[in-house]
Amino acid sequence: MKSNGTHTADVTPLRVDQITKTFGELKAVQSVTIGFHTGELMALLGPNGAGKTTLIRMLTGILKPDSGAVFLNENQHPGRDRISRSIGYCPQRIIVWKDLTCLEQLILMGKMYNLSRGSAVSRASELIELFNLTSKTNVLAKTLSGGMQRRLSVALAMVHRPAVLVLDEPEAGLDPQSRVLIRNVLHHLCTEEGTAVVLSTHDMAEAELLSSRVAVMHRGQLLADGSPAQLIQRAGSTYLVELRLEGSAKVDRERLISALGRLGARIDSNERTIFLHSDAQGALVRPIRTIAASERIVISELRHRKRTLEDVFLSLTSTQMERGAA
Amino acid sequence: MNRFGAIIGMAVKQKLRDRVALLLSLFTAPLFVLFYWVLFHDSSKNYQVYVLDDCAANGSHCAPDTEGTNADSNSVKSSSNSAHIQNIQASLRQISSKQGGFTFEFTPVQSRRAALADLRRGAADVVVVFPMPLPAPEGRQPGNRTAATVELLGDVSSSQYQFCAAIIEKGISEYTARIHHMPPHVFFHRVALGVSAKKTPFEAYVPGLLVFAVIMLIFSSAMSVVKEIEAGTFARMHMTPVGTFEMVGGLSVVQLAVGIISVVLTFWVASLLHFQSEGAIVSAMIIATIACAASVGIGMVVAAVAKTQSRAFLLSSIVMFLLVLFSGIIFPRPELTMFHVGDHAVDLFDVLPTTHLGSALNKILALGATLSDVLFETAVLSVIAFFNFIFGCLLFVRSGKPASTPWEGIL
Repeated sequence: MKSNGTHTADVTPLRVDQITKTFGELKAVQSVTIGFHTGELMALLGPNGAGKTTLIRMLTGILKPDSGAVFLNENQHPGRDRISRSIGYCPQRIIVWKDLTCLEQLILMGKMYNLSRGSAVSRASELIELFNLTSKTNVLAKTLSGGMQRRLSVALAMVHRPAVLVLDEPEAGLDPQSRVLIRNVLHHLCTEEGTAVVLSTHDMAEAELLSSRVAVMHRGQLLADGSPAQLIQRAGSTYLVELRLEGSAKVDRERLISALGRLGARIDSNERTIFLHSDAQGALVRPIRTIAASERIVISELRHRKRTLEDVFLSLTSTQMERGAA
Repeated sequence: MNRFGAIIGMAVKQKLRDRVALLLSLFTAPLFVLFYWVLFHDSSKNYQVYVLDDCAANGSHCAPDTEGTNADSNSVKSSSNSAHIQNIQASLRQISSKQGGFTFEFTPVQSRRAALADLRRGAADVVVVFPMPLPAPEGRQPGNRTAATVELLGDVSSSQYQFCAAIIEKGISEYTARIHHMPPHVFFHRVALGVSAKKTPFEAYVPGLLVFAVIMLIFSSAMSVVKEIEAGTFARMHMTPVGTFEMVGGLSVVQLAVGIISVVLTFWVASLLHFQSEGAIVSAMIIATIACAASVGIGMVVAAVAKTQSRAFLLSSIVMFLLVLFSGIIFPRPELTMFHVGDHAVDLFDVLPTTHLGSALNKILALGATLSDVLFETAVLSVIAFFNFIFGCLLFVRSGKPASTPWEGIL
């Protein structure tokens, strides 16, 4: 499923250099430098208010950066016409013409890009088939289900075969079938058509599953950029042991954390869970049980698993939050 | 009761937080009252009275109406008739200054044909025709009764005509009574121009309804554009190579087409219901079409300013107030002359398309005017339409609305 990013990864149709955008006192995007490569699916991760949408709006030419530059095919001032021809954008909200049929609006978009009537119809039919909307070809968009409207909204961004496709949370509110369908389409786009896909999402599993590269944004800054494996590796450990102490007193929890310190592993904790980082699979399980027994603390749940992108994301953003709070 | 109170509380909070809508709702009518007071509280209406001395115009053909007496002995030279007319004008001026609130501006006219043309193009409110020498005081003896018939030409359905006619009849009657020291003996003949006297209430309403059909385009065009913005489809189009003028133009053309069809349908229905027009309906349709373009232009201006459909509706309502109240189609139009173009005094409210639409439709439908008679209105309407559309589009582009994505917030 995952696009390998090796299609023609040396080609960078879109990149930004040190771009910054502020709204009054708020620094929405701060000195972000990043490139988007052909055939690569990049997931743009970040909590709400991280600056993802502002970055996307600058990438798509909707917003002008206060400083820094956006390069489209290494052209610093591409103009609206070239941007619109090279970039397809599907916003987070479903945007379709409710009173037009699926076919009509796809043809309309084709004509906006100066396709002839024949080419527009042909491309519209192709997209309708790709997004499994064939039975709804001549149905008004307002009568479609939310999932179908979302699919149509994504299809509208692809009519002109853009070199870069930017999608803002395309799977939000989708049923599993539509989710899989959109993932397949995006995979096809990257691997078969060499499109650079930029995907803004909150869904870590989706990002890990789909993307060949992940960028994490927080408070307007780019915190990390790399493949999911690289990010996990950079985070310092491959495996994670989760301990839950149901019903234990806070003092017991702190006593256990202190005792576990003897293992030399990195330890994080929250009110309910203690996390121990490890590079060796299963290596910490037995010593943890031994220490807990010696401290007479009952572990209600012990889980050993591989670190996920979500762990990395939470780790990165919580560190930032702590720094911010400090 | 608790729930009912909570709902009221919720509604009050929401109302208070949409300050623009609240202010518009609260202060529109009071502001118009204030505006009207500023314009009208010490203003006076100036009526254009054209005077035709038919006796002077016709020379030897001038002959009085008589009632059984020697006409020759009662006839006077046209020069003395002119003196009477001058005196009558002075008398009317006295009445206007005594009553206040209006003035008469007298303009001599040389022929009946010229007088009718002046009426059709709206230059005159009334034409007073003195077709025979007025009876001289020395000729008036008991039993030697000579009647003078003064004609009052005009659009009898207009309030200006009715007002002028009443004052002029009073003035002439008083004048002749004063110089003869006996009750006046003057007949007044009100001559209706075109079909103005034959207009039924239904026919009188049709031009006004047409004006409303045109005004409604402001609502529909503004709201349709704001609807596209709210739905995000405008931004979606903006991300394609399509230009803003193309987008706005495309939407406007459809609105214009709707307006034209509405006008055609209105005329068609009116014709089916035996609406009679003195002038060519096609001329009226051309004028209405240009006015539709002006309305669509205003709609674009409203769309550039309004953020939501409800705001667009409120702003359109205010514009509608302006167009209805200050264009003279319902209430008298305040006169705030700024400059003259040829014979035409251009005042502040000439910027309103309905001023010219109402005037032109009345002239065509009631007075039988042709397109050349309403050339001024046509030209001004065309300029207003062009200006409104260009201004609306520019304002729209500058407002950043085409690229705005209101659903996303700033982050």
